[in-house]
Amino acid sequence: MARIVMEDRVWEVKRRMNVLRFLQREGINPEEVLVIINGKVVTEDAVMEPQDQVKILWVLSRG
Amino acid sequence: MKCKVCKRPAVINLRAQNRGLCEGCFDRYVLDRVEKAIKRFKMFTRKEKVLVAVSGGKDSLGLWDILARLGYNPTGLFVDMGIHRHGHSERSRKVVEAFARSRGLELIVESLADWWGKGIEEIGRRVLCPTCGMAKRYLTNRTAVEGGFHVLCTGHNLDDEAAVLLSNTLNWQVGYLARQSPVLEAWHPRLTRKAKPLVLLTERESALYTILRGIEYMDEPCPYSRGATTLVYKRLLNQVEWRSPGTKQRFYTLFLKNKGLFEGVAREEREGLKECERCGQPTWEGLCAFCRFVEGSHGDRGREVPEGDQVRP
Ligand code: SF4
Ligand SMILES: [Zn+2]
Ligand SMILES: [Zn+2]
Repeated sequence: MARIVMEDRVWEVKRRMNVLRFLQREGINPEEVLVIINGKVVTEDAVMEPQDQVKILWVLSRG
Repeated sequence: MKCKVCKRPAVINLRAQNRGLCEGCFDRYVLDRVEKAIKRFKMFTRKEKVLVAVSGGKDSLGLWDILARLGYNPTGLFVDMGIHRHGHSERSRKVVEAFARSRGLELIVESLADWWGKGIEEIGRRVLCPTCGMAKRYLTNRTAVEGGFHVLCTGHNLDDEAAVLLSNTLNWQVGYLARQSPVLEAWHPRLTRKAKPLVLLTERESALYTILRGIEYMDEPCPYSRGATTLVYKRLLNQVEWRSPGTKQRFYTLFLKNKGLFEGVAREEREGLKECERCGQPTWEGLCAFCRFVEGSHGDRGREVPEGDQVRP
């Protein structure tokens, strides 16, 4: 299962899934995040495989 | 997606330019964009003394790193406002100091406590930002002037500028619009030129640069920050950007092209200015806003001479 973490939110995704599809499903604007799969920054056409560790970084500063 | 230049795996898809870039090509792209902004807007030269205001956040540390790599020999300035809640100032300061040490860069630390005897939390008011922002701007500018720096750089990126522009336009703040610029000349001997070398980079690009460079930055906002309004505008613009890539850049650069429309407003505002009796800073009253504050009459902040280009936080 791919484990996807974004701040205090966590998702577990069973099947392989395209990053863009995931972001759109969750209502996340790709312009506002960086996606890191297993420590590597990827573009939104990348695919998350079941064993992947995925981190989504929100890039807009709040302060 | 592959890098348009060298076909390695891309780390970013620059949709506005319809190309992906790999880590190495993106690094070169960032350095080029900053150098381009510095040249295009005549911000400063390699012969001038450059000061960078660093908060510990991703943009300002990234900017400091970029200017050093481009050979501008920048000095950093951290202003410690004494925000002890969540250890904010202490932690930010540590992040900045560690970065300076790791890169062998010169850092100046100023502290409000040296001027006022205590931290900003002790003003006895719930809302700190107006006073804190005023005092921070004052100390930053004063350090720049007295240190003989030709220019003071801040880490404002394209998203910051576009959001401020949207806000100023929605409210038709013509004074702010007249002053919003990537570079502001010093119009008084007690002021320094101000420059924003990251204006051609989006916040996302700036964040990616900082991450790829392995820079440790302060990720938490100030506990008193109420930056919600700017954030709303940034998010609105990003929605449009997603549907129509390049919107932020067009909005901002076409505004700069048409800025002549607001000429005259900034000049009028400076009429009737005097110099502060205590420190010489331009002001409308006998004492400038900062001197009134440290002398204890901060119940009445006075009117701060508008120097920046946006509604204060
Ligand atoms: S958010 Fe407000 S209180 Fe915090 S550092 Fe900025 S101006 Fe000061
Ligand atoms: Zn490349
Ligand atoms: Zn003064």
